[in-house]
Amino acid sequence: MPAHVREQIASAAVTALTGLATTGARVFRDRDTEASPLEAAELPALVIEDDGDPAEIVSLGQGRVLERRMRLTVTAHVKALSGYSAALNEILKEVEVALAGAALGGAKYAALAEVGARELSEAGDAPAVRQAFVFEFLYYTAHNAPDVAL
Amino acid sequence: MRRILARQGVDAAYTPAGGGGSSTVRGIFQRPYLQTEGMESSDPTFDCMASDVPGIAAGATLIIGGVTLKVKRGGIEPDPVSGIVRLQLVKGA
Repeated sequence: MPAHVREQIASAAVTALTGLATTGARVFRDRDTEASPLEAAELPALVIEDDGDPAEIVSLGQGRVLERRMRLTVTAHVKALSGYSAALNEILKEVEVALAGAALGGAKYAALAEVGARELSEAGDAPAVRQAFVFEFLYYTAHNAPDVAL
Repeated sequence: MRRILARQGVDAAYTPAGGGGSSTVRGIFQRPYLQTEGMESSDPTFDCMASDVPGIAAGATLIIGGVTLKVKRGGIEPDPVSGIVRLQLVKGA
């Protein structure tokens, strides 16, 4: 039995975002960076988390269809003495382009929903900055078959 | 205080912010672990006699163990009682 479409979408996003020019293979899923912070060799990096998924019924009956919008947060982490703003904007560009051109695991499209505020610390030996980019993936399933994208 | 620095300290090659000649300064170098914004880091400091670095300003360079570090903006903390100044450092460019 295939995975839930949410998982299919998240996996497809990880694949699409692995190997980008700035962040390369440093793409992490299920990584709590507060408990397990990124090391120098793991930067710059992307941390991917799938979030809420509001659903609406769009057709009635036994095979009723749900319209679902899965949120996926891609958080870019950069540590640099200078140029971190430009680096974050470059990462956002690469992420947007990659998701626009990717197979999305059954989603109809991915749309950028929000660019979060930057979180910056100059407490350490070089400024550390992170910024969350929230994408929304539209997909449809039958209510009784959440593993099959319509 | 100088005896403590002589015994416990390390040598750093010091160059003032505006450039000029380099000199050797003895001090205690510490680099405690720091975690910030989900990333590992360190918080390097160098404690030395203020009289060894007269007029020190942000941007001054210290080379310690082959690593270039710079004094942070707002990273100069003098202690008039002991004569020590604590320098907060960032990686050099």
